[in-house]
Amino acid sequence: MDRFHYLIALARTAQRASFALRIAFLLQAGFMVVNNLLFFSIWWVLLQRFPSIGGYTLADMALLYGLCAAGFGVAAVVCGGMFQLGRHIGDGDLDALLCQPRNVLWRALASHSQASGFGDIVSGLLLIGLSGHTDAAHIPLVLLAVLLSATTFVAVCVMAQALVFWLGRIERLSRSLFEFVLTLATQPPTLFSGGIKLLLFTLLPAAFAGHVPAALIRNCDARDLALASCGTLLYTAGAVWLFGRGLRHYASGSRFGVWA
Amino acid sequence: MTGFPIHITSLTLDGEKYWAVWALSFRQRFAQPAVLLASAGYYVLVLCVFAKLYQVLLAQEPAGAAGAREYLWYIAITEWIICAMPRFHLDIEQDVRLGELAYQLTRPTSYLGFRLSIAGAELCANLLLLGVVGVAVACALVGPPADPGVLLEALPLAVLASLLWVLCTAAIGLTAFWVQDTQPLYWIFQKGVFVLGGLLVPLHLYPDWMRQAAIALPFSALLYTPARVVFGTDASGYGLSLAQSLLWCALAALLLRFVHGRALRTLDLHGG
Repeated sequence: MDRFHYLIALARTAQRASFALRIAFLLQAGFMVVNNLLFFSIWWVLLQRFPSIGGYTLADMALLYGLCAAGFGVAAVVCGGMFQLGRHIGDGDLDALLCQPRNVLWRALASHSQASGFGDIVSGLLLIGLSGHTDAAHIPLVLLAVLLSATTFVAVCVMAQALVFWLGRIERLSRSLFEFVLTLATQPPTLFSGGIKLLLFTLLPAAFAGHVPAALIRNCDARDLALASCGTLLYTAGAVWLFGRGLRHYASGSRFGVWA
Repeated sequence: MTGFPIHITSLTLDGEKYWAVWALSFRQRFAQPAVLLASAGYYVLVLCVFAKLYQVLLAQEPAGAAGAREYLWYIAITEWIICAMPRFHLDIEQDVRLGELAYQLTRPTSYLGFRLSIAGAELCANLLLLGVVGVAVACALVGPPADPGVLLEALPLAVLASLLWVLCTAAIGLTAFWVQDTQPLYWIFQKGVFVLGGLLVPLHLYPDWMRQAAIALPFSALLYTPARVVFGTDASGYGLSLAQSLLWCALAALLLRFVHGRALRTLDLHGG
């Protein structure tokens, strides 16, 4: 089986596991839609009172928040195993994957799919549609932006979780690092300047996860496309490299386990 | 003649058990520096972001950035309560789902009392640490409040709000007996608190219809009531806020007792 078909088979297996409990799946997805729309209503309340946030209007916020929600949702559906990566490293569960003739990182990421991710995707696309920044001609750009956002989220999560290789059981800290990026990505970029803005393009790449892809949809600018693509590729390469280095440090947990 | 002293002794012994659980959990919390660092780091991040947000928003107003200090102290209090909340509904859900609850029932403590003691300890440790961090960071960002006494006024309301949240979270956790996955229910509760409790925007900035709905519901007691003291309140308003918070805590305790009773009855009927 070639690599592409292997990845497709992995994703289908994870999806089937996710759909197995229909009621639980529908509850998780449905409540996540409500969850995201409720949280977005805070921005609606704020922007009813104030005209804009440094020029960022409600439509811009809907586009940014929707894009981040959809990107996170795609990441959670396709690579849901990223949230447990640190725990698997700490528990020695990677042993079973090291014996398999396939890429360890891919296998670990695609081992699980979060049902709530579908709710994130639906609510995200709904908000993008309601933003008014999109029409039929923008659909390819929207799909590309969502893909870039999702890839950046996966890369950031992998990098944060891979720190467990060296620092030990810090899964909560790794999760918090990822949540920093997620929180910053959903804030209007007009809030940030100077050193903080530099941070968003480097150590905490929230700009590549949310701000730049949103600008790409709004402006249809080749520079935004180049910046978003390069940033995403750089962080993806960094995540793969960091995980590979960490795997050399990995000591077996001598634990017998099965990856379903 | 001997029944009353034995009852008092029984209560004292029960209290000592839960106090021991609380004390151990409190010490354990401070033995996890990575977790504490993560909580404090996220709190600091949120304060910095929203300090900037309100500076930008209020710069557009005719009065300029006046009032930005009060808004940041408002956010500091609401986020202090949010970040300190333990998510122990997942622990209860796991106990129910994996059947570990049955083993807990054989212990000479109430399962609910045990879980509330652990959650209470985690809450106290978080409130203590994040309180110090929050005061330090908010003072560094915008300076102390015009009347530092408002922080002491906010303290008892915040403690009541935290207690209310813990009681509600325990009730949500116990619904695992019926729904298996409590996360969706918790998400809706949490976002209800964020929106109708005025997490980022004080309720007095809401549209009238939304503000009245929020004040009628218990969500406002969880965040808005403790935090709004930074904008100033008179003695009668403060007394009313305290009474409302106590009332909501009493109602939540009754609800929890009801849900707990139904859950144990379900366990008795269906087995562990």
